[in-house]
Amino acid sequence: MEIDLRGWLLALSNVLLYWLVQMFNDVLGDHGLTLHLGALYLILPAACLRQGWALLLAFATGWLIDAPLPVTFGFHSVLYALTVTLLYAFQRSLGRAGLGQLILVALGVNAILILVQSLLLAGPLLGNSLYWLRVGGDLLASTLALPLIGWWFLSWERWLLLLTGSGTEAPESA
Amino acid sequence: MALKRLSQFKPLVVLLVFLAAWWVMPVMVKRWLQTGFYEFQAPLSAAESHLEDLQSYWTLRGQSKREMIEAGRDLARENARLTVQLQDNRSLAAEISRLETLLDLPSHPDFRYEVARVARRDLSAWWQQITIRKGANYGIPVGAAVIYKGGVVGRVREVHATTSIVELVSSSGFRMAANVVGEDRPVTYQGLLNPPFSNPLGEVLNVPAAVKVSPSQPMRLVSSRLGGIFPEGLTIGEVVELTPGSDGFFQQGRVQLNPDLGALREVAVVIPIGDETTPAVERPPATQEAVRGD
Repeated sequence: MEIDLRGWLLALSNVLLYWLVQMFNDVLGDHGLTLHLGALYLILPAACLRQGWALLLAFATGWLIDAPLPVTFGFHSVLYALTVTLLYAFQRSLGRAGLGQLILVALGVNAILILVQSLLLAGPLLGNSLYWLRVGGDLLASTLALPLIGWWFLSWERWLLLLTGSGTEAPESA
Repeated sequence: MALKRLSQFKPLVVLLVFLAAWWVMPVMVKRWLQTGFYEFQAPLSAAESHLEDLQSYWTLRGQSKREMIEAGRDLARENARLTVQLQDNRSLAAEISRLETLLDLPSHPDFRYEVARVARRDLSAWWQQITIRKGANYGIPVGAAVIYKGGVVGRVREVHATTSIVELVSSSGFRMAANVVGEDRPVTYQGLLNPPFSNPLGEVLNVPAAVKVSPSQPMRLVSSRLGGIFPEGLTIGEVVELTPGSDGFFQQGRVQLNPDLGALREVAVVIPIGDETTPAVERPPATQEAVRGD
């Protein structure tokens, strides 16, 4: 498997986004809100990397998120790997899509990710209305924040890829 | 033709290979990966916390000399008051010790307090935890109680090289023994969650039927010595409502926690003396004063 420089750039971008979202959540947590922008980690890797690299990136990002959390290590990795594989089915369309279209896709994927995580991690709170109120609040806040942060982040990723002489189009052999 | 049809399943096969590789990976390797990824991002959290400190520093720099002089004067007064209180505490501790010896009572556990800055907060619907900037290097043990000026913060869940993760009292996995003020019988407290734009919540279980509260007359819930790690009498929150439990003998209800819990900057880890892990570095003397738990 040849080394794809784009994979490393997208991995560093994911670390940057993770850190920035963490800073936002540090402040928002006090108001009972949390931003979940998991889809943004996955959209461009699924659009422009070979599947093996996209999966590696999804796993690494998941490990980064899981490491400090009280959740089974690898939970987010598996969730992101499944999402990347689903997105990979639309790789050609994603590679050609404009920024606005990518954000629309990210909005849909993000909402599904939040709901799936909420179901899987609810535990004894599954039937608690306050829990779903909180999840609803987080979903709304994330949906409102994603276009803004996503616009910047996807533009940043695309700029990085252009800087290295490559674009967001899918690899030939994919 | 058949080959082409099979190639359609290639993405699925690749995914299954990755998942299978992950599931058969030895636990040791997974643990090593987790520690590696944690320690990789620990400096990011610390950097964020240091940036916050820098921001506070420059905010203070922008204040006028007059304001700083007034703040210094107020601090000097507070210092004098606390010094008197410290002397009082010392004489009370000596008195308790004398009575314990006289009456042949088992002595109260002794604690030392390790003050630590908060580096990161994870306050989602699924987990409520903070990361503090002290870990194995300051002898923090797993399971130690964490408190602040408003009462109970939580319990140390994980200790790393230079940081520790504290499970907050509002986390749904947090349970401890408690007492409703004015009631001797112990009750069980457990965290609930932090709804949007309102205070974090907990719930109290096994409350005797005789205890009555209302939102206008809430009762304070405090830590109990039965909890083991927490000094007695620290505020957990306020019981604002109680409803009869399914067994008819006990009640259960909501506990309103302190709103400051989500914005803590500094906390103290309560380390029972004799239960300390050996710190890797020298601690500054100001943070290692041994004081009595009661």
